[in-house]
Amino acid sequence: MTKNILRVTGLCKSFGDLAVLKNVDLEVQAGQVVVILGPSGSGKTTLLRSLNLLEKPDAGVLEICGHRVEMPRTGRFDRATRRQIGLLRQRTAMVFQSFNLFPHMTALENVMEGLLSVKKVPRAQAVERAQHLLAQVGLAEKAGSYPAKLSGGQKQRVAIARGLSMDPEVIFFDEPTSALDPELRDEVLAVMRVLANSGMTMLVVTHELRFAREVADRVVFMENGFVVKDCSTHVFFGDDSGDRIQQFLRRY
Amino acid sequence: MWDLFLRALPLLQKAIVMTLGLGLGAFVLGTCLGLMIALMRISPVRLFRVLAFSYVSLFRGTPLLVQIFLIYFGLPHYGIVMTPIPSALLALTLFSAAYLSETFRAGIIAVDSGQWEAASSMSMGYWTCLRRIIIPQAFRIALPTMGSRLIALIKDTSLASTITVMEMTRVAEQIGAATFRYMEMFLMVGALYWLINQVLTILQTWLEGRWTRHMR
Repeated sequence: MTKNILRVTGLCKSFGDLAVLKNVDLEVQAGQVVVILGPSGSGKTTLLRSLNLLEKPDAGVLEICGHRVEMPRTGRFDRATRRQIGLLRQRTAMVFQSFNLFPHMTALENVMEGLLSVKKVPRAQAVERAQHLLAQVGLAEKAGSYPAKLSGGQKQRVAIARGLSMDPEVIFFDEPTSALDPELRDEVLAVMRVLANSGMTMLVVTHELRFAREVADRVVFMENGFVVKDCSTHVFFGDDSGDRIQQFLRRY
Repeated sequence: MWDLFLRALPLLQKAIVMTLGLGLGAFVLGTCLGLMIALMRISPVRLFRVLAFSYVSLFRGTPLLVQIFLIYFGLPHYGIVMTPIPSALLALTLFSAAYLSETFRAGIIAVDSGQWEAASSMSMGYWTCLRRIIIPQAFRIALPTMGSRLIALIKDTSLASTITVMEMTRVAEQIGAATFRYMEMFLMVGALYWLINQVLTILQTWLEGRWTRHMR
């Protein structure tokens, strides 16, 4: 019996009149790789961004890595909840489509930043750990480079190393390869594969069907703010996944 | 003109120090105050936003000369008496802080929101994020405009001559009056203002290149 590392219940989110998430439930077990698929505007990115409160849901409950956040009716988080959010964020990491590296810092400093200013790790130790992580994503020799001098694929690998520096239990990937050309995609996907194989819990919003088919344990298919299908990868890409899924898959 | 220059030199030397002291002093103090006002202006607390907005509205919306007179001639009526130099420094600081706060606000807003998100996602707090991530980038964006403000401020110090501060303009006026060689004296200090601002421009360009080199 594996434990749930993430449980979401009744998540709702609207932007103005537009309901983007409609009562979404989701459970993820430790070590699972879950790919979230769906057409544009289906709510998958909003769902992912809600999980670490970059987007504030209107209603629902998050239980992630043992931290519980219930959306308040008043719309404002109280002090205790804000503390839970802080802790939740420390145990999760986010990789963005647009990388969001800190442009005024070198690759090494980017990876060190969270260690220094959030985890309060001594500098020498942080340097060592950051170098190790950069080596892990194959960028040891780029430690001194600024983001402006890196390719998109390299930037995203630095961003992954930066996420790993926080020792997350779950990593959220928000279309990590969508801003990259096909060749650069592969180097990022390769790093993600290694992570997946090492037992990291991952939630990946992506359009990379091959990655989903080969790496994911589970596929969550969203449409119009609902989870339409939540099944094993094997079933999802099989013949019996239903007309809507077949129609979606044919597009690619 | 050379003889006049040599005659004026002892006074001019002191006056240059005064002009630079007032200008740079007000710039440093105005930067600190301006940054505070900019942070208040983007604060989630409404009261802070209103205060900051009102401050900028007042000090940017009225002439510096009026502010100098209010502080030097007006405040003594309420028992606050300051000698000319502190009065001028205070007025220049308050005035420049209003402009600089808008410069900083523009810089902070210009930093991509993804930077806040990346920092939040690693659980960095608001102030740490400002200090480590946002302000260093905002500063680089604001640098050219800050340079312009400094140059404007150096020229604005000439208004301190009206409350008897012995800065460059005042010295030119006095020596001009004593010798009736106004034209030469004002050309001389005009050239000095230009020279000072040229040096500051070069300094700004150099800093800009140095700080933003690797971000491009």
